[in-house]
Amino acid sequence: MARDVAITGMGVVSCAGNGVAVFWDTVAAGRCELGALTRLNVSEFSYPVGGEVRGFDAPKSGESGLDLAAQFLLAACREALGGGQANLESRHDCAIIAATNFGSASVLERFLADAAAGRRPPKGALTASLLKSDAESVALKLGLGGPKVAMSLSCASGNAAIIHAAQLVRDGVVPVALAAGYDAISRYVWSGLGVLRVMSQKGVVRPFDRDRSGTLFSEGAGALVLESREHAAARGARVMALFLGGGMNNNAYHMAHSQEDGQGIRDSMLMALEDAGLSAEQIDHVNAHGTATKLNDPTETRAIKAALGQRALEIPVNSIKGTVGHGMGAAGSFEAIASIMALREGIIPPTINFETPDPECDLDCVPNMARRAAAKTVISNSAGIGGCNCAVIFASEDFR
Amino acid sequence: MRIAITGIGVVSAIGCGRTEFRENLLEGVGAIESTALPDGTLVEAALIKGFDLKNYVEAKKVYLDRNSALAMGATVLAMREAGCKAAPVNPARLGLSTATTFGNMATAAAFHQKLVEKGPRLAPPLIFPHAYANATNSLLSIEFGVRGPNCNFNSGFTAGAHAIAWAAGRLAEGRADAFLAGGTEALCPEILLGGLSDGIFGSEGFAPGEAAAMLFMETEISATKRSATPLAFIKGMGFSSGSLDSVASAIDRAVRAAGISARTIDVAIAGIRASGRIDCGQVEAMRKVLPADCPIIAPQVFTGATFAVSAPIDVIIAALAASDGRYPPPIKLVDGEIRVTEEAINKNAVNTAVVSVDPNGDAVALVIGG
Repeated sequence: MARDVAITGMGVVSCAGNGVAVFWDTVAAGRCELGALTRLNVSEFSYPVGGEVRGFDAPKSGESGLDLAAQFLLAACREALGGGQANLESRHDCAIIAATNFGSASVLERFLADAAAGRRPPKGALTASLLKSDAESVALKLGLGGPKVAMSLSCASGNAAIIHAAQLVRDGVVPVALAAGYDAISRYVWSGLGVLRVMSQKGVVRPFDRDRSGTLFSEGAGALVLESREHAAARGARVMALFLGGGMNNNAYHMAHSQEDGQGIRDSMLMALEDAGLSAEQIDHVNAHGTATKLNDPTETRAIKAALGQRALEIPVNSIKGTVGHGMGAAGSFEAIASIMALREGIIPPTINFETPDPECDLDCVPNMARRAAAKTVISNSAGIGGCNCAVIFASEDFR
Repeated sequence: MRIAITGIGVVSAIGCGRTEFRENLLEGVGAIESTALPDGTLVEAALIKGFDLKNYVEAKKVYLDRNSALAMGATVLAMREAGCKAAPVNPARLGLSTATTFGNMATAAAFHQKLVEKGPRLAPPLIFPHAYANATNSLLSIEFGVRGPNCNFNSGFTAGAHAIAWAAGRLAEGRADAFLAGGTEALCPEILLGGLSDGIFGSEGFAPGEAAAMLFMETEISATKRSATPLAFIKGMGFSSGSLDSVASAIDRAVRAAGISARTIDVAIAGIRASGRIDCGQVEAMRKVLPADCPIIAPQVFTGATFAVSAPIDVIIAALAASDGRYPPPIKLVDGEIRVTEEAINKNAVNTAVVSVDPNGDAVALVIGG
């Protein structure tokens, strides 16, 4: 069984646009789509700015039975399955790997409110609040007959889903799998993220800038269709890119603080290189986690240098979080899609809001303006609370 | 594939530690009993009584959800049995693969309560990270210094089997020398109340059970190098989805992966919860591929339904039986009901099938043998 796995479909719902084409236009142009939150009572919060999905009319789409997070997941998966030259019409063997931080958190919040008030929660509330329910609901609505896997590795979830989906395809468990990361903003979620004190009170995300002041979270979902190259060829599907390898690990250091030497991120990148059978010199581009927190960016810079050596100083290393925010469980998926589009279009999206270089973040971060570059390979990093790290490597469809 | 199991740790309502757990299981001692919720509602559940993490871990924890505490206890036991202090594994080559369905629900409820009382700005920062579904996984990584491949599954009754299969797959690929793999579920009033409302617990459903179970798995090379004695081996695994018949397909795929026939399966341990139609259908589906005289064991009849821990517990039972052939009392389908009709059995089994199935139709089978 070949280890390279074909990416044959992508779908996205985000503050930067719903649909891959709109999303890519926004990301490549470096347009910031973060703004004041409209669904929450922002007077309650210290951080009123984030990335809400707009123009997403769920009831019209007939998905009103689902929580907003699951609706995002469904819409992204639907686009991914329908994309490409050949729709995936035979879905009885298609697995879904749905990964998230909080799943249907609004349902959980209502369930917990009922329980706290001594009210018997409505029938189905506990079940609907479980992470597994979203994967099951989407599988049911899309007619997916393969395994329904729910995963959670905090903000590295989106990449974790891609790695696991690729492993199921490589191992021959299924010929095709959907890998999706998703999350939605809710009062419970925003309250928790607020107390972590990693968000920018200035309301702007400046990855790798000396004056960066924190990240801003956003919501949505990103989905990728992964299948064996043989399966893709047999059904005439267009191969958009190849998944070459991935690595996921834990810092084993602290629940809420990252390890300053970047060892965990470095190791996840090295695992991905080993899995892909590549050397550092074969990497053309890094899509960084780049959260714009004081701690992450220099830590990740050290990790990238340690993993790629001299190559780290020769290639573009961008972060799209200034544009789309930190998508929580969807972050890895957003960045995977941006990475693949960068390979396909020959354009590296910019790291926006960059004004003042930071000597501790001395990589070429593609400041403020997109750049033409014929990259053949890209490594995309994600990390999350609890010390989770996931790195994935994609290549253009003709790489090998 | 031959992945060695060299350590086991179990914390359950029928016993903590291999000796107490196993003796009670072989005796057919059940732990399901009536429990009163804060509002006076009674629910049948199997809760772990008297668990104290201080009996397992020396360092005092500032905050720990019960779900994470149970997992930590089981992991300490598995590490101890695998002899990790005497012959440590390189932390970068030690992986962790965990599973939980409900996560740290009690912490989520506590955070939510403070949110209601104090508002978003004054919600407690300490406990929010512990409310994440990966919190237990992260805490285990930190506590035991596990820096190798890492994953966390939340897919209900099959999550534990996915966690074990993922670990076995990575070991087979050479991505790690050893792995901790298993699951954890703690019950709190919110889960019990919600389960009653949903009809999954109580007279319409089944009795839930608390538990954590962890396996120390390693390649044969690693076990040999460390002079660790394998209790048993994971020989094959299979996945299937769809209807109840998926159980049969999963077994078929697992035995083929193990290079054997389903007719050579001596005992089956199934994720049966004694909850009516689904379980009866599962037994009937298993009977289609297993030998007619193959006993079927259903540990959750005694431990309560342990969700993501069910498969890790079943693998532990199979691993222990691999050396002495002793299995808990089997079940039978009598008048459309699951019943325990016999005493514990002795069977010199070569291959045990562990079959995990979720009501959503997903099934995972593992072949365990000596």
